[in-house]
Amino acid sequence: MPVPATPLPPGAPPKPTWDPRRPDQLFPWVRPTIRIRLTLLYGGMFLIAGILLLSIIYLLAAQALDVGNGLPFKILEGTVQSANDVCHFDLPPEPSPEQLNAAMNNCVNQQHTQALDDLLTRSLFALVGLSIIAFAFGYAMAGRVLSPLGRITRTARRVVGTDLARRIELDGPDDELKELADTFDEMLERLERAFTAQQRFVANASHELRTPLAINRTLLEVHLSDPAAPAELQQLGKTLLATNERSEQLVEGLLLLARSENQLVDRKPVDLAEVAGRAVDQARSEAEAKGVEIRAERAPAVVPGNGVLLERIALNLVQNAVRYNIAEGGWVEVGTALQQGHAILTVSNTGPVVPAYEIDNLFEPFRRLRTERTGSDKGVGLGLSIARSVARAHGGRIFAEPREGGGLVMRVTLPV
Amino acid sequence: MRVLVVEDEQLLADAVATGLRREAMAVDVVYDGAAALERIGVNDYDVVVLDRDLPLVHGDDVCRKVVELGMPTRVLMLTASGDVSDRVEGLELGADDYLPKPFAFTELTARVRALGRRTTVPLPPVLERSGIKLDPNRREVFRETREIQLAPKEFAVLEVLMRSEGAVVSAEQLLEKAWDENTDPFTNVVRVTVMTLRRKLGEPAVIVTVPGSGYRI
Repeated sequence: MPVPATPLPPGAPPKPTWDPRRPDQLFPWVRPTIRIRLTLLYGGMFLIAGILLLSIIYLLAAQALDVGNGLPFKILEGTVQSANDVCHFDLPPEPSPEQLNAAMNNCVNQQHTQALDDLLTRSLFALVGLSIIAFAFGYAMAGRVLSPLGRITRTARRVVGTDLARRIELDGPDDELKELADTFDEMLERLERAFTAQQRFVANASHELRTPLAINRTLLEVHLSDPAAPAELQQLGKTLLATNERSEQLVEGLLLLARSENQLVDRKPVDLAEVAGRAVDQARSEAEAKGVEIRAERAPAVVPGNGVLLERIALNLVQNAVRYNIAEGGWVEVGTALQQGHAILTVSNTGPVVPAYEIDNLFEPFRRLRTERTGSDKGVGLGLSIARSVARAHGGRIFAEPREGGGLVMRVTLPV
Repeated sequence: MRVLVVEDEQLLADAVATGLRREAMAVDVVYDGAAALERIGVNDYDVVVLDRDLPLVHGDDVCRKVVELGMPTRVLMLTASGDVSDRVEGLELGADDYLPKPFAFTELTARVRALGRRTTVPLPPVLERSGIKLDPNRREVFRETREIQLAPKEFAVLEVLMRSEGAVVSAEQLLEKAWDENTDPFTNVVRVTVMTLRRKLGEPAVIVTVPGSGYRI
């Protein structure tokens, strides 16, 4: 079954499997926008609340008037008694017309006041009750109308976290929120395409770059091991092998740089203390050869991240600290700690004095301290740019500060 | 030892062949997958050094064919795709070893020799017997087409039984292969596990108890 040797170039983007347009539109000129829905909702609620309030007050008023309509007195055969509870008057057994009139006036006034007070109290209660209901109802309704927003935010957050293939795919009425969600989905589609193209490029480039290096290496190794080869040829072979190995390292470094800048990191918990420990172990032989002492003070600091890449940064930093050190009595200090929600890896060393303006340049690819691009010593000048890009991919940062008397303090902070 | 080198970069293929011949191996060289299949059909190789990206027939398909034929040939995959996911994929296909390019030639030689020491027919990566398909890489078990969910120990016991290819496996052997050293040797756990396994596999029964000896599929 033949398979093409290189993947097909990107053609037209694949059609989205989900069609955002609704299949049937009953009244195409009337879109059920959120604006209309909210208007209907709140207008309707006001209307209902108003009607309710009016009815309640009407009922209360009727009741109050009812109470206030009782006759204040009963006419008996010659005596007068107060007939309701609202006003009591004591009249002498033979009241005069003025006394009677005054008492009646009094009573009616009292009844009025009582009725009005009653009305006020009850309608206030009704108002408070209705406003509580209105607010509760409004809150619930607003929540429902805005729930698609929550869904959009959650999906976007999940995409930012790990998964570019997710889409919001909002269904529901064809309103402003749906437009927003659809635009978001389009944007995610373009992002995903860009990322996949970038990843494919890196994969292809790595394959194409590694193959000729492998050919060189095997050819040289096989023919070098021929006992009949003359001494000069053996020497040439060794030199070519060394140059080839430099190219190999350069290619690996570049590919790592490209990948770490673009990859959405597949995060697992990684303990920086262990990572630092391994880096120190690997650099120890070189440090001993150069007479540099390595000190380590590691507190456990677990971050979500990619262990391979983090080990790479640690190794780069420790190796740099060892290589750019003073000739005698130099030291390198490696520390890990957990501070305020960040895991911190610190590598400090004695070494040549670094002026403050050179600090930024250190992180540029292929830059070495004070020499233009790569010199001839070990390494390819990519270590710090890889470190910066890996730190960034983890959401963290890397800082460099010059030490008094020479050397640097490199600090990598990663969010936990 | 007879080795087949399959690699489309001719310079590399020839260099590898030269080097291996110097190590007293008999080496055939082909430059594409179709020629590789042809040679494998005709000759008996101890080891096939296989590049994955081949013209005509892809290296993965050559590897599958070797596994399918059930020959004692070992496959060492050699390729520029050296990421962890590529390596895992290659090994899951049935390759016996995986060496990413660029590689040190001495390592290639050592690995080829190590593979050549293993002479029995390798087991295929996915085991099939009596209608049961067991895939250790994906931890999946299928009976006919129905997937069966098994606990880790039940899976391990089933795997031991399938690997024995019909031979009787005693309870002690099951205990030894599927449990680690922290288990009480007088335990009942093997019998219980086989019972639940039988229940989950369903009818008709595939695990047969051979009285006095053990179990077999």
